[in-house]
Amino acid sequence: MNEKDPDQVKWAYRLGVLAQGLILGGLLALALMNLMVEIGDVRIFRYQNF
Amino acid sequence: MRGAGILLIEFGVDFCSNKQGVKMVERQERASQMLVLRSFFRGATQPNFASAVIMLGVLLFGVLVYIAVVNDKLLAGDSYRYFMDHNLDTQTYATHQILGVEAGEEPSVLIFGSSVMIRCIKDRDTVADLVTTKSDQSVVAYDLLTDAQTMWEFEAMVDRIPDGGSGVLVLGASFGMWTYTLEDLEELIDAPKLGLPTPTIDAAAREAGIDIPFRTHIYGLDASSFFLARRRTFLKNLLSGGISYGDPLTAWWMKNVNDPEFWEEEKARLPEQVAEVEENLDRHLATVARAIEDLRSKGDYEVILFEAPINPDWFELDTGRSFFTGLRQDMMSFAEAENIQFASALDLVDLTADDFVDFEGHISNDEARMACTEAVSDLVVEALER
Repeated sequence: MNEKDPDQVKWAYRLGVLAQGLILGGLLALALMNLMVEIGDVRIFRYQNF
Repeated sequence: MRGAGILLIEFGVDFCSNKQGVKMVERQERASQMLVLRSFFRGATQPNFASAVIMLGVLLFGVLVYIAVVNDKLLAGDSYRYFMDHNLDTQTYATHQILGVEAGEEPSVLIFGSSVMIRCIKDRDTVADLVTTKSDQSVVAYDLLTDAQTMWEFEAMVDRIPDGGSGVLVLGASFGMWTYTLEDLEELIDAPKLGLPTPTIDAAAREAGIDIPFRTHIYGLDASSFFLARRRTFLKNLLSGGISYGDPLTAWWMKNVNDPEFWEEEKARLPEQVAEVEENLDRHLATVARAIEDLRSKGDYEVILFEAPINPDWFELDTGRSFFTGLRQDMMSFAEAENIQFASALDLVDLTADDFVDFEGHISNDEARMACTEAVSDLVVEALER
């Protein structure tokens, strides 16, 4: 193992934390959006069932 | 010879030991990479406070971006095409049009109405060209026609017209527009059709005792139903480049209603619709009166209450004849009381039953539509000259 490794390991861990936050944040936003769709019963008006 | 042999052996030993050294370095590097990768996965999978903070940050950022992007300028511009559900999505198109109304120097021609009136007006450019040519003054026309438009939506759109403008407003009223009940108003609150906050509809609903969702006075949040309903449409249109507004005479359902069996159903439904009009007419006239008052407070506007095309075959039936004659009388009395002009397509355009696909009053062909467009344009010209 070279001298840079401890730093690399630390940064890799931080990157993992960041990725986790970003992915979960995106999923949470999607989940909330779908929850609002379900609760609000949102739909597009279609004339003559267009 | 012996010296050369020794050199070869030494070279061989060096070569082998170098090879082993390279392998060792490679192994060390692989181990180091695995350690970094394991560390990444540990950070990505283990619960930790920092990730939770980032997650909430992403959510907050997303909401802020949504609020910043989804405002009254979004649909006013060309990006409305990304929210068009199909090429005759009149609600999105009318939202685009009303948000684009400007109180400029040129008078505006604002045309409202339902699907019947949609097929009486060729398009906004044709109206603008006809009026500009005949009146010798440049105008900007706005197509604010929507399928199944209610007077509550008409009032909501008038509410969005900016102060300081001038021009002519044409309300092309088909008989269906007077039939809507309080259940329809409740439906408008539950599933808004227009892509903008509608405080006047909220006020009408509140007055009728209908519960209103919490309003934030933030455009994107208060109109979120419209945008949420179009989330898949938006993604699809992003890939395809958006949808432009089409020709209303190409609506696929027109061939379905152009059928004698359907016409019989329409005739059979008339007594029910007559009862609905009798029950709801006063409420709708009051809504129109409010909208006119609001418009007059905004600028110098002339208002025309235009009776949208009626299939002449209605007058072959006793119920039809008495209903449409009575309704016209009510509209004329209202126009007189409000000091606005009343005009009827029946009087101005020579339409036969063959020009309609159904009894509701949808015009079937471009020739009849153009005659109707010219009649409306002539009325606008007269109003501009007053």
